Amino acid sequence: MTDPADIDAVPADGLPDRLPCGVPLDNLLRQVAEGIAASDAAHQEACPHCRAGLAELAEFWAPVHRMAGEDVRAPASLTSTIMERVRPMATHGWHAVLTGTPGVTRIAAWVVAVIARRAAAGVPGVGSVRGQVTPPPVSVRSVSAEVVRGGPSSSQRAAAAGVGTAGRRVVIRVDVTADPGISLPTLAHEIRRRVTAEVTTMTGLSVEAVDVLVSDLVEEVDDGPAAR
Amino acid sequence: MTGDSCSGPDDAQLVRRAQQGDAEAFEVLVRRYGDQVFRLALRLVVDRHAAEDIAQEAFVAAWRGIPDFRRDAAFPTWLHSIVLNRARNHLTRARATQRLPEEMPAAAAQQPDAAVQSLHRDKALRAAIRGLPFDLRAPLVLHQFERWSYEEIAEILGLSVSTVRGRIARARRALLTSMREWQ
Repeated sequence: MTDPADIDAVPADGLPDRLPCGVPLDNLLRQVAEGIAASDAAHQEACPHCRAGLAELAEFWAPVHRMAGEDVRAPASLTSTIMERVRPMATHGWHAVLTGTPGVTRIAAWVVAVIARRAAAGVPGVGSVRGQVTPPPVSVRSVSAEVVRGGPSSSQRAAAAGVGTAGRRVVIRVDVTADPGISLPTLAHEIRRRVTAEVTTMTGLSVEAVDVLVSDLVEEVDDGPAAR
Repeated sequence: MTGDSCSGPDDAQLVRRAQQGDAEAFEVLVRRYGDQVFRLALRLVVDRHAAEDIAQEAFVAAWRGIPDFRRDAAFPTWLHSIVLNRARNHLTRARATQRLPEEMPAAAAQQPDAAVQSLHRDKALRAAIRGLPFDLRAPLVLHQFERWSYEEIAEILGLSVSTVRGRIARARRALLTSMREWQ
């Protein structure tokens, strides 16, 4: 390959700079390559050098035009392959930002969601589930996930949280199941209080709102060892 | 080449949503520009597998970088500059372990048939493009195959228009010289 320092130097390619009639070869080549009109059409029509040169260049340049005209399509799997890599980043990649000196602290929305879920799950009357934390596919600058918590006698109840971030402000959505018979407004108030306190204490972020969705009422059932 | 290439939400809307973490909006951009990105990569590296890798890497890099993308710039221009960088990196790495081109054409005199001659010239062209240094190859490909204007190429490569014009002229001469050698 050519030394980059020489990239704009005049090439010693063995081609003439001009045809015998004085017309620059580059002009003819550009005319053929770009399909533009001759700057001196009358001369070209009469000049045997230009006519011969144009014919030769057209022949050599035909493969370039063929390649330019090819209908090139990306492999059908390209979009799905890319999105398989992008979606997990969308789930984990957004941050609330705390500016300070020196440096900037970024807290992933996912982290805020975990804190909120745990806080909500600790409120008496909110269910909990055993297992693991699993991020489901989500979008639009939010993170939601099932929290899975528990011990041998925990019931299968979900507590999920979605988090929107804008600078240091966060809006949190908590999705819970509740025990039957409990006052839901009271439960929601306590969830807001605990989530706000936990997130504020642990992250330093400003909790703008905590939206609570009570999605189900679930009796607590002792699964027992056999149910595990 | 810098306008939206199909109907639906315009690029600015999609970019804004993607900057807010909307993967679905980004997917529309991937579908909208996937063919262009792949084609540009293919023209630059002349290798379908490498072009697919470059297209993937370019879009993933675009997702990572989109929060910092300035909306006053054209999204395709920015995206194509990422492709160019990825292709340059690929070629730099490939040069370290360079092998003979897979489609090195045989001498034309051994192939009398016109159709075979045409095929031979197409292969000669690909070999000639492979032989171009990247700084000539990129402006030539953008202009000759992707139909970008000199001004757009100057913007995407960070060069003056006159430098772009000169490099394209040199690239054409280099291609012509190389292809004549295969005649």
